[in-house]
Amino acid sequence: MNLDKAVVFVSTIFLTFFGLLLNASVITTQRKYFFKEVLLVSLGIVVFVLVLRFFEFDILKKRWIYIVGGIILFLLLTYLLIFGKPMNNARRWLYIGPISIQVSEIVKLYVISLIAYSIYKYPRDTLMQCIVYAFILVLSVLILFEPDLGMSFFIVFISTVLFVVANMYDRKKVVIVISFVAIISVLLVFFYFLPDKLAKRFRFTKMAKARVVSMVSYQKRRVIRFTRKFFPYKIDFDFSHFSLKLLPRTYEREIAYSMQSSKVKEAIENATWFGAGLSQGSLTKYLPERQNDYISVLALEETGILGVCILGFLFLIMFISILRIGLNSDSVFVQYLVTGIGFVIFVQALLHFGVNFQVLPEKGISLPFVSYGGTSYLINITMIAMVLKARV
Amino acid sequence: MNRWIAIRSENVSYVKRKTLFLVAGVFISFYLFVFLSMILRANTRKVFAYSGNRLQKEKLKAIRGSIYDRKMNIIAGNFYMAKVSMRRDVAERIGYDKFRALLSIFNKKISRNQYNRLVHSRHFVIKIAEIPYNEFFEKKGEETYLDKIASLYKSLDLDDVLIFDYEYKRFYSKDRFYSKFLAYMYRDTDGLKKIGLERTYDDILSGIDGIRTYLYNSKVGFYTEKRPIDGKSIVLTIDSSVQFVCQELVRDALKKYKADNIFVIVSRPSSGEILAMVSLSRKYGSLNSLIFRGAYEPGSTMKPIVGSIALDKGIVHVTDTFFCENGKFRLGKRIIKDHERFGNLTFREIIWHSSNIGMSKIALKIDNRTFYNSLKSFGFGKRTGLPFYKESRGIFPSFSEFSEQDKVSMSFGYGIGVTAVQMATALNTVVNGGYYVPPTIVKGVLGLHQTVQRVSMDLNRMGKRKVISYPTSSIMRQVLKGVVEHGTGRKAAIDGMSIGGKTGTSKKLRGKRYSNSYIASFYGFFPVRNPAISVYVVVDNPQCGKYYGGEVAAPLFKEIVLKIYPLIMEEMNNIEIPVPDSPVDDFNEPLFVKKTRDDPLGLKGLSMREAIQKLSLNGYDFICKGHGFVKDYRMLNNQKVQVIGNEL
Repeated sequence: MNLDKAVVFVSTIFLTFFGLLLNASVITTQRKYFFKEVLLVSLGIVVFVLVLRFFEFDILKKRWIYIVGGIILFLLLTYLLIFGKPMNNARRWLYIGPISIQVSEIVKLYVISLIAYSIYKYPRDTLMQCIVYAFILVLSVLILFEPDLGMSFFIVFISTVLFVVANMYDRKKVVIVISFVAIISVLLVFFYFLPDKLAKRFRFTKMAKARVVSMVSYQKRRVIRFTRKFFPYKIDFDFSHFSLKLLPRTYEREIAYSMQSSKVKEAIENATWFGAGLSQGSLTKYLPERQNDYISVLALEETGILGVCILGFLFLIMFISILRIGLNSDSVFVQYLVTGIGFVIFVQALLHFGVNFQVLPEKGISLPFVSYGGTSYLINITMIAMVLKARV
Repeated sequence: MNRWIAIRSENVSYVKRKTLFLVAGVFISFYLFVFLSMILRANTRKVFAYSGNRLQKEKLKAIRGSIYDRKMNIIAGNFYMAKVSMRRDVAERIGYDKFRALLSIFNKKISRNQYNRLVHSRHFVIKIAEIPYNEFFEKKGEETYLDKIASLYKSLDLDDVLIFDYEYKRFYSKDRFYSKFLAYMYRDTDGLKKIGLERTYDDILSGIDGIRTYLYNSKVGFYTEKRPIDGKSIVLTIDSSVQFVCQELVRDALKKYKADNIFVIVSRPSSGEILAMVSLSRKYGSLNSLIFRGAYEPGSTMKPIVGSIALDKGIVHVTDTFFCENGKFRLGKRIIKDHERFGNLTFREIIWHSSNIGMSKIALKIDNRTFYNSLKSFGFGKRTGLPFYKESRGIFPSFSEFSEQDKVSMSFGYGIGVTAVQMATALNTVVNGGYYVPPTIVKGVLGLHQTVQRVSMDLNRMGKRKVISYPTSSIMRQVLKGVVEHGTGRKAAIDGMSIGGKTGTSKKLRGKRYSNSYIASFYGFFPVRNPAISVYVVVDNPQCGKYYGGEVAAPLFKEIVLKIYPLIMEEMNNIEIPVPDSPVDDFNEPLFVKKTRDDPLGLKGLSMREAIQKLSLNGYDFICKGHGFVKDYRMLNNQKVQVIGNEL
């Protein structure tokens, strides 16, 4: 066994343990999460062992898997968009009996392996790479309309990073990609961030209109709140005198204080070195989604700055050793797959911490291995098992 | 081996190490930045988190004690006020028009500019109005303030934007004629400032705040409470009516004489009680505290003191004559001058006409040691012990520095620095039968049922002590009576009253030289046989052409005495004014339940709220457990009761 693999394995165990601990601390207000998490972890161990025992990278080197998988995912996402059950104003989950699956988590794994396959199989074929990229964009647009802005942005971002790392860019490709992204973003602005009045004028379908109205109001506010943190001025340009003034802008209540952000802010400013102790936190006690999207704020209050720093350190060493495994592996396909997995886990953690510590605008992104969430935990543990399977 | 072959082939592209390191480095540095920003924002001074955070604490404010004058008129009291305010960001949100409409309820106006300035200020809360509590809930016209606000909310479509607080506010009823240096409190940009008695007796007046602690929870079942102990009131010896008269007369005199400062002290020589204490200045108004902080050279008002020392030691007799050298007396290198040319003068006449030469000749007869010690026993060079912050000692040389020349100049009031309070006390000693009585301004602390208790702080001070003998004092009284009848103080004479007094004029030191500005003073007392009231007047730097004490200070004294005599005639004749009875406490009556043996406080069966009310009225602290009705209780100690209700 390699040292890097040992580091990855041990940090995975520690992160899982940390997640169980934090989910146990939520037990005082919401009981179900801890027991579900215990079930999931035990299921995850089974999956982990199975992948280690039976998985071979040759399985993923067949073309029909990607074609079929792509079609299935495309159909599932469109199905969700049209017939999905809304939950918290979003149609992200596919319900099969008692089980609910978050399809976008599976898309993550699919996208990484698709890119790895395309680079491995068609390193000089520009057209093929563009088709792959376009397909990923289509998938991300579908995810965007769930609505899940963060996840779709995340998928596009990761795939771009992987292409960049592979040196798969020249002038031609950059122009094509930029035009692609530009066209899609124009379409997005037209459909997604459309003001209500315009929507009425163009007479969209009932469903689309309702969705547009509900999304725009809070996401606009999040963006404004974020920009005002760095530039709290109103620009006042007087044409007659050619004078430019910066008027200080006082916060409007609806924009300045959301319930979550004010609580998170308070929790950060009152954080201490060793924290209040598990399930002793009072500021995060009634913070919505604290078991999932705001789990590091919970950790900050209850285990202190030290606990959060240990958490961050685990992710950091995990990322570095995964990259080392990828660089040392002999096959091109495995190299890209492992590097992609490393980036996915690390960037997700980065975005999560950024949002939680209020460096980035608000967006619910879960922390891998630690946050409560079934599909994401299983997919992440599968990824780690794949990494451990790589031949060095 | 396979790998190296593969790299060279064109159809395979491995990960480029450089780009990978670059991208990963960017990510990792951003990751570290996120954590660093978090640590910088966090409260890293604390190691462990707030324990007991869920215990909510609330301060129960004690009511500050009031200040009364000697006739139990209130000087400083508390008003229960309703304060109406609004958060600044709310004021910005509702806009100018609605804000103006809200202000118009309280008869206030605001311009758009003022509003903009207010909104962009740093205050968290904007104060809108302060109204006495009873007025706030009374019907004014047809509807109360609350009704008006409610109707305005409806018409303007507003939320509940106003904040209401109720609190006690300090109130000075006699603010206009009452010297602020005595007792005053105000709020500045720096915070609360306390002056005079409010500062020295702060621990008596302020009382002890109570604390209410409870669990911040959806169920309110458990809370402990420590009742506040209200501050005690203090009673002054000041007579408000006398104070008023003096203040008004001094205010006029300040304009008339164009003086810098005027001090007036009205006191009772026998007991040292101060009836009025006025210190006005052109520059600082009534906040001027120079009356006990500023030292000056007293001038001829010093002569009675030196004279009484000489008489008391048997060195001179009243009928002894001294030659006054026709106005010029050479003593070594020094020349002493008189304001007039005098020939032979008796001891009495020296004081009547205020001859410096005669007085210095008397002083030369006294031994250095006795002169120094007796002046000290008159209280010079020591604080009188008035309860004010930073009282001055005056300027008085130590004995090693004390010389023959000092003695001579001290005999007519130069070479010594005194405060007005010191001087009045020393002259009272000459007049009241020879006792040094330290001045008092606080009669005592108001106890239960309006009984006045002695202030413990006053006991630390020097008590009464004998300085000169009674016969000397009575001789000096007669001599001082002559000053008003025959001497320099003739302008202070009043028909039909026996008044004694002494004038004083001194040049002021500017740098190292005596300038052309003067301090005129007059000390007077009446009646001469048994002095009941003494008045000491100091006029600093009169600029109206006249500067002698007999011309400036004596007329002011006369005016004051004419006005205050009818006010204090009753008290002079020892007629006591009955103190009004205190209202009976109805609150201590038991509420509903009779006391039994196993229920000494009579709490069982009461509802929790009634029990708490009753306990707090009887002055107990308590811990409550449970809710509903009182099942049981027990005494934890003399002061504390644990009350147990129905279980949660």
